Amino acid sequence: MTGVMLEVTDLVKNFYGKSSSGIRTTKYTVQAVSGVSFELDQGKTLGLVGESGSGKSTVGRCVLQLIKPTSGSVKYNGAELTTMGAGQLRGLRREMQIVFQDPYASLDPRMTVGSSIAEPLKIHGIPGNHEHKVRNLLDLVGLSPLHAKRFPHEFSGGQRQRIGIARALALDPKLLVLDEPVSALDVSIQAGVMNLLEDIQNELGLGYLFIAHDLSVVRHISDMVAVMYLGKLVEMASSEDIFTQPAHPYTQALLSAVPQPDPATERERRRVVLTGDVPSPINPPSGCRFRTRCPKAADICATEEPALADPGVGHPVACHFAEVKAMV
Amino acid sequence: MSNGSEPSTPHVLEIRDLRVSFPTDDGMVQAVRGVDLDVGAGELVGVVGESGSGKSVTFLAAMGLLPKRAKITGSVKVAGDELVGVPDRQMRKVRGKKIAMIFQDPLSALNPVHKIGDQVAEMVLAHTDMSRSNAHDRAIDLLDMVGIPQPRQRAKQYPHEFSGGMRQRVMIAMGVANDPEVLIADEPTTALDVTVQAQILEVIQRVQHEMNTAVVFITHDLGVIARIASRVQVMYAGRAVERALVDDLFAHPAHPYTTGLLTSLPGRVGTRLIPITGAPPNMLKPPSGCAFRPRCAHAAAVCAEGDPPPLRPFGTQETACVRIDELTQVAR
Amino acid sequence: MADILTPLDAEPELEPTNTDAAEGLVGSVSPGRMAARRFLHHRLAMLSLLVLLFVAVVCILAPLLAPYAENQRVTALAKPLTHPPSQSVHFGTDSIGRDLFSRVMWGGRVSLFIGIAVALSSSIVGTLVGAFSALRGGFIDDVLMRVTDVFIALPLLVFLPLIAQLPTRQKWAASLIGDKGSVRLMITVLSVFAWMPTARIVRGVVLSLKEKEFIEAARAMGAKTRRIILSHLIPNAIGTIVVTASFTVAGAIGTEATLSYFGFGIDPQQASWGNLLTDSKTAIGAGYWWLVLFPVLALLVTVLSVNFLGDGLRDAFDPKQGKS
Repeated sequence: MTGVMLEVTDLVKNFYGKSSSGIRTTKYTVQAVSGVSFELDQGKTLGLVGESGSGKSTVGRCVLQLIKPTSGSVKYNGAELTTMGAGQLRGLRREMQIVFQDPYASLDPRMTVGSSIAEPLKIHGIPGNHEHKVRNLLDLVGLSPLHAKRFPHEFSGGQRQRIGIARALALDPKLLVLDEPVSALDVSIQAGVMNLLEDIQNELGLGYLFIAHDLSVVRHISDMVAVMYLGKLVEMASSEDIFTQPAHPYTQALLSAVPQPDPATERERRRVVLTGDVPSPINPPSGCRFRTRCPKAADICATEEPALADPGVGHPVACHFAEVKAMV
Repeated sequence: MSNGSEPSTPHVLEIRDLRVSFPTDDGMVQAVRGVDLDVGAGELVGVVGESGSGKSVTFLAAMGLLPKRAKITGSVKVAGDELVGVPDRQMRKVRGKKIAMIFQDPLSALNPVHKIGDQVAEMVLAHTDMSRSNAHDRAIDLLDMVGIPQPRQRAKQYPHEFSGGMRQRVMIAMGVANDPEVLIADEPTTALDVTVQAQILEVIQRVQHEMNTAVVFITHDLGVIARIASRVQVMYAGRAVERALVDDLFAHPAHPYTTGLLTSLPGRVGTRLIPITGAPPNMLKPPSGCAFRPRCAHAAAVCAEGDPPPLRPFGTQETACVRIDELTQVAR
Repeated sequence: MADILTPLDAEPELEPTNTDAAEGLVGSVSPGRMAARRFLHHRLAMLSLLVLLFVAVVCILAPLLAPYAENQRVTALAKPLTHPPSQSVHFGTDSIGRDLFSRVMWGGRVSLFIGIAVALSSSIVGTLVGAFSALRGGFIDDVLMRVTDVFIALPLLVFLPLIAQLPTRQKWAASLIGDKGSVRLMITVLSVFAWMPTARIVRGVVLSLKEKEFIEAARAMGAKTRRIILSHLIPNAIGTIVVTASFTVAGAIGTEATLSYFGFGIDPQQASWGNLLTDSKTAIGAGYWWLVLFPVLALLVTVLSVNFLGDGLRDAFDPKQGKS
């Protein structure tokens, strides 16, 4: 099945807070996501990349309506999710699932693995004996069906992550949001889980929204990649293009910062090292949010926010001075 | 030891047959089972391993930072002074002065109720006879050296006012405050964003070169190793399984575990990742012989015999794989 | 022979990683079973449990085991008034000639009953308040917590006489919370002052559980709030609730004793351990040591045992299985 499965338009999420110094209480707004738009096709993977404060995890949760967006539209197969009633939304939850980052916290420690995997089936009132389905799912993720009676604490991190994936697949979803699914795993275990995710996608035709900070992992599995910085999308392109021909200074800095496992390459590369820290999403810089750390920053960057559009490089970039730099 | 993997300058850190075990409710956990390492002044050696490899415990033991119940045998010499078995009083004189350690989480190492400048100055005062005001000036110089902008103002701030990257710089400043011979960096960038990691790696390299400090950089990230290390030691199940110059390690790894790590790394779209099957061993009862053999595709009967195999020379590298000669076809 | 330098051609199969063999596990162990196992190893807690069971059984079987009824004067002695311990009256007699041994048993029934009843009611109230507060958050959370604070601030001994008087003044109150000096009144009053720690603790536990990803996962699956509370929150909070309840038992027994000693508690016609101490003020001066020793001993042993039991329970439920 092909076609646009997920359409996100101008997604905005603000978190509101109060901080009190005893006498005075100031209200503040964390602009976690400030106008993000993208599409995901059926059967494809969109990698959402960013560092801390980029808002990528919030986007993932907003897509699934686990967090209510402040404004914007999220359309799943044409149906608008943000205004949907609870009942209808619950029905659609069968088709959209999430895999979490922390394999240790994402399973209820008091439920057997089999019960955890079968829980979605129970919640949605799917009749019949779930044992069979649980066995199939365990088999699908590379675990023995005998493990169904065991408890999460008896498994390693990689295995628990597989259990989490099995649970996410229980309802035969079409869309999986993966929020840093391998970040907490050792490198050699990551590989196994990555392979599993790819196999499942090929076999079941799932669409993935793959959220991660690890660029090499994103590169490996994604068809398209979107780069986020401080709540905004700064660049979006095919996986190959993002990594070999990035046009946004942040993307270039990000790629330049990632250490490559090849000493010769590392010695020879040109490095773009950013100064300073990521600004706070409470008070983001005016105009282009990246300008405080950007080597190309000019006056226009403070007054006019660059639109995410293609300035002739072949894919959308949000920069007044977008320029492709070939990278390794 | 073969020439390529031996440091060219005198060793400021010499570890010989270090063994560490902990009593637990289920028995003795053998966290470190005989580790050797030499590091020369101004050299940066990378120590690579996954969780359970013993990479952190090795150096915590060297620093005397393990709980009393840990059993430590072997030898750790820093600039000729033996550290194993030394009473805490003496250790305190050495820690921070001759050998210093920085950790993954700077927030827990910094006292939240003291100003940054004071904490750095404390490090200086603990090991020198400087006056307070001199120590403070030195603190500001150190903050400047690690790249903290406006050091004089920022020295008056508290840890919570610093970002993660800034805090790590402060940790580095405290670590090198007394110009130690050896700096142990235990996964200092693992919890940092990639762009911040790049900055911190630069700071560490600058310290290494400007102060001629020997640096041991512990990590699980092979990319970081490729960037900053000159020599690498790969650890698995409490032992070193390979030691080589960084170029050699990546070009022709000499141990199946190293190969496994390299082939697990994600690269371009389309290539299949090759994971290492199985899981790290239970350190209560490590397997006999080579601890990697349950997961090794090349394991043979000889791998299960006897004690865990030591590192032995293999061309310009060192490896603990007893079958390495059979397994490589490249003539050396 | 495969070259070590080239990756293996055949992709190694994803065999189920056999944690069993690696870790020597045989049967599967639930977290509940692991907690039970840890508890059984806690020697002090096990000893306390046995002591408590013994005390409880003896007291419950007072109708069968006690030589004398609650207010019965001793018949076996010539001079029954304030007689020191002897063969026929193991703990001696009091100023009215009642057998202390029997009264300790009768009193135990009352005191233990009060302890457990208070723990039960305050746990239920506290859990409801704490859980509701944590789940709702915001304004409701603030209000409920301030109410809890008010209750904590109320001085027990000031309000007690007020509440104790209420049933005599207002007949409707008597039918609701019991007559003056009754066990029911005591349970009511103690419960009013005992639920707050449970509320605070449960609120804390629920707040931390709420953020755990397995709760978020349940919501992502489409679980309704009721299911999340019943299937996920409560099973994971029950350990803490039970531990808190056990400490409440000890507190209630102790407080009842104090109140009765001061005369605000149970009517002296009905024995309770605190009651038995009412005479002790004069008893010590007159040298009637047994009137003080045995009730105090009973209280001490019981309260200590309950506390050690609570410690054992807490150690059993914490640490959380090492990894989570």
